[in-house]
Amino acid sequence: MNIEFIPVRAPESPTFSWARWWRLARAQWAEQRPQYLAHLLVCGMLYIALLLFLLGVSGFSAFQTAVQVSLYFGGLFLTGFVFAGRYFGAMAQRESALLALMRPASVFEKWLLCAVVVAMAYPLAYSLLFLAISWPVQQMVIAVRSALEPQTFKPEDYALFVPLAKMAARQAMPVPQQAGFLVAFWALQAFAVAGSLYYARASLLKTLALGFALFVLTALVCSVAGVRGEVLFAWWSSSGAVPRDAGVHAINALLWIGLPALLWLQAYVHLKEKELR
Amino acid sequence: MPMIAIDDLHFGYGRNALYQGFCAEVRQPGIYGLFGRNGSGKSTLLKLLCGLLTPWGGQVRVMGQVPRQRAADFLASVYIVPEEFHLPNLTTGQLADTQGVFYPRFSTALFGEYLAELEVPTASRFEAMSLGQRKKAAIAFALATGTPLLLMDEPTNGLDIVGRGQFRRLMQRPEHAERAVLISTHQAHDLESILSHIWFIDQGQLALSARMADLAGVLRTGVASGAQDLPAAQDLLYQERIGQQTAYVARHSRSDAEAPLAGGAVQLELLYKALSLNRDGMLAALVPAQQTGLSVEQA
Repeated sequence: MNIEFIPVRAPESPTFSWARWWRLARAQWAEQRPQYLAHLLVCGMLYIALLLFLLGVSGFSAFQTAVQVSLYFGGLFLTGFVFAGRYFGAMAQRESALLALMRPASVFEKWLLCAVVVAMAYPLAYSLLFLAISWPVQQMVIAVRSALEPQTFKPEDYALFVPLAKMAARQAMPVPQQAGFLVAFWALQAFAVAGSLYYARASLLKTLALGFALFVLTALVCSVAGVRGEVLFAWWSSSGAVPRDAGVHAINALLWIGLPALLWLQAYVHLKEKELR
Repeated sequence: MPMIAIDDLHFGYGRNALYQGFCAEVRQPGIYGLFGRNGSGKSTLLKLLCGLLTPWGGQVRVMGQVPRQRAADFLASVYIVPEEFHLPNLTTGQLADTQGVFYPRFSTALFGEYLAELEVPTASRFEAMSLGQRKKAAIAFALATGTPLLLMDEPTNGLDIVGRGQFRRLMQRPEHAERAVLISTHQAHDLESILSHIWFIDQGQLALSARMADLAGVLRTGVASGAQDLPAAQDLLYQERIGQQTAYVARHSRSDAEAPLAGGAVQLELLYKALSLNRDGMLAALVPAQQTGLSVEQA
């Protein structure tokens, strides 16, 4: 007797189905929620500890908008890299890797969920956490500084930094520049995800080491070749120091669209090629 | 369409070839026992069948699909319980709610029945359970998925004696009658009463593929208290001392041929030892029986 597999659901697209993707997201959330919340909790605690140190050392002055920008992006790059590198943490162990690889969803759906969680949900959660901690601290700093320096204190220097929001503060980073940082962040995350899928053991460290080596090598090559930084960052620069001709656009498109896309594609390929030895 | 079709499979690790021209087919539902010595590639075969490894060469098709593509509908039709398994830290209810939905034929009611039969606490999270309880939960979930193909690697490892009996009872329930279940195991005694077919893998090839009923028609196993109780020397294929007695594997003699099943069920442990330690002799003895449904291949 031959057996035919008779699906009891309506046939779904082999590449992408919303219903299946939603099931995947639900399962991921049910399993990983404690780890995600723990990650955010650690980030919050580290940020608070850093603020306590900074404000204590500077006498409540080191919280100007420019400092907030540095703290925001520094924290985003650091914690976002770790978060992305741990998204496929299950692949580090054979038992949990089997479960992840055998979950009935397409490679594209698994990859897309990763991209949504890592590149969209995480920056959003991180930003909300940043604002939730920064806002009361900013209020406190303004109160303390205005009491200490009632004559010279300028509250606009301590405006709360809200990511991607246009600000009047002189020291705030322009929105296009912030967008550039965000694109670089996505590329870094894609690199972390791809590394975590490629390396079987100590993937985060190996990826970090490889990334650092590539960064140094690229910086050296650029410096020897006399590459101008303002050309590479022309899309995000508001100064207009470089005329934006076709060549500059091509270089920026390659760097700011091509490279992140290539890295996310690499993550997809590594997920597709992943085996269980 | 065969449920599993493996043709000229080549695979290995590094430079060590494990399979060189392996061929096998599963056309009928049933419980297939996969036997072989350590390192013979039983677990590897299960991984190849569910697409976790890429063959070096040859063709593997499962449910008409190429496993290595790991297509979503393929993954929904195959479930594997590995020897070293992982369960997310959920309760059984949460597991059914979040994982069961991936499998079109998953039955929450049956999952509940299996858990009750296996005495798995349903209120606890998996991290709070013992290894044996987690294993039982994993087995219950695997059975409840209702996938046409179920692969199990040493499923009775970690189960106590009562648990092994419970496992056998569950496997024999009628709802699994239309599934093909491949069980890789060394615990032959645990499963001999439920297996419908056996595969014996040796030297990278399928050395023996047989229905248990056919095997029982050709071979007999038993324990003799003295030399006078042993089968005739020309029928005797394997023997070993067990204290004062001798366990043996023998061909059915001519007198048995009139009632070929008189010998009863084949003791798999003995057969396994016989195949492992006297492979060529066993296979030579079985070759003439191929017409009765046995498939014997000389590696």
